[in-house]
Amino acid sequence: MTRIDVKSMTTEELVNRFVLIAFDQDAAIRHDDNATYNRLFEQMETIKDELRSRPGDQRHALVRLFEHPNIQVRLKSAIATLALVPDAARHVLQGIADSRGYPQAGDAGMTLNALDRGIFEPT
Amino acid sequence: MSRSYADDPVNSRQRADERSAPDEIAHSHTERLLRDARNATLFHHRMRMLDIEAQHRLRQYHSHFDRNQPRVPAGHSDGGQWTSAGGGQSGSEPQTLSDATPDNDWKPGAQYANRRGRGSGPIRNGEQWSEPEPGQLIRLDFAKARANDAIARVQEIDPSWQPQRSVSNSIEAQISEYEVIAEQARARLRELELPPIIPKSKPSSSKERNDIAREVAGWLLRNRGNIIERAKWLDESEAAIDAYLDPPKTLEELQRAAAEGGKKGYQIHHIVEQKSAEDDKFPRSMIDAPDNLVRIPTYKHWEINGWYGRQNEAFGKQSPREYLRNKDWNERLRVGLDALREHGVLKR
Repeated sequence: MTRIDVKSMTTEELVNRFVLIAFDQDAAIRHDDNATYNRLFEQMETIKDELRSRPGDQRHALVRLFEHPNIQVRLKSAIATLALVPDAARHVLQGIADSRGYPQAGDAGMTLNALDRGIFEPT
Repeated sequence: MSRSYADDPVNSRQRADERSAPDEIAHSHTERLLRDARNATLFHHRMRMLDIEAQHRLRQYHSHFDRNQPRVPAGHSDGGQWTSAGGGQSGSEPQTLSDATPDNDWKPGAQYANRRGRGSGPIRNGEQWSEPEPGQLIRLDFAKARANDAIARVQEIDPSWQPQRSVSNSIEAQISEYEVIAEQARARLRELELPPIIPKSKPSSSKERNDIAREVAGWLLRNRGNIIERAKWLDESEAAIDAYLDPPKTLEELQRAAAEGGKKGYQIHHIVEQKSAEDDKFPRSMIDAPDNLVRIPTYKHWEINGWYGRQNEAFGKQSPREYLRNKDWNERLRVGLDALREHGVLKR
């Protein structure tokens, strides 16, 4: 894999990269390819870390993905912004959990569950 | 028995009109027939395009497509070479996604001949001029053509749809923006919730057949009361598809079903995962105890197993399976029951 030079990317490019990774995650989930998914998970973490490190915490730029047509993009953008806009992000997660769009609906429900139980404290 | 038009009391007013203005009615019928024919044609066209989309997605997946390993398309002087930066195209991807004419002037291969290619000098991005890297312009052309094509296909069905756009100030940003736009369009097609395409001929691999059957099951679950055209080969998955549509059940119902034994379309599922419990030295007598066993739809069993193995922000960025390592039985049981609940198997 070519290492992504996230430092040289603009926030806009990072957001686009975030979306593309989510698309690939969606495909990996649908094909039960957890090895690929987990590799993509780490890539997305790199993007999120870079956005967070930028002045003003640029993860805010992910909020506009809350209405993205792809369910995995909505799921991941909501999780990534739980610490910044908790109510809005939870609302997105609840919508996914109620949508019967499995397996992401299950993932969203388990995330809300972990939040409620205090296992997950977003930072 | 077919019902005649004249027998229908609901249409009595229309019949009166028919008597008073036969030409108008005849014209109206003709209009309706023409509209139906147009709708049928449009529907057929949509189905065909979705089939192409499905094939594209399968090819993309099976080609082990990796956006971080861009390649210059075949047929070009740089064909097949890896390019320097991320955000590219796989050489195995088709150049067009449908046979619909895209709303741009792109023709396969044509622009490549017109491009100056490697060392072609600076190009302008907004207010900035930048020097393209080898292969970058070709990737940009490809990304733009795919985005325009995808937009056109969505707008045939949803004319008002527009993708979200962003400002790009580099060639790489433009490429990634076009890719994002194309994926937005594909996502919109899925969002329109048209039924999945079922190939008439039986796919050769069981994995492919299962993927399609699960897509059908998911669509039917989200679109209760709707029907879907089926193919004979899908009969082998009928029990599993039907089972997937089960409403959530109580724990007692699920446990009782497990005690009755296996059933086509269902799996005996361990609430506390058996492999990790065994690795952590829990006795088989606990793992296989009747209260740890439930009979659930096979596809749900696969979904939950898949979820356990994927890294997850809510579990310290580990997979739930890793998170549960060295945890006590109660915590495993809690997660196992929550997973059943959140995946729509266990009643709340």
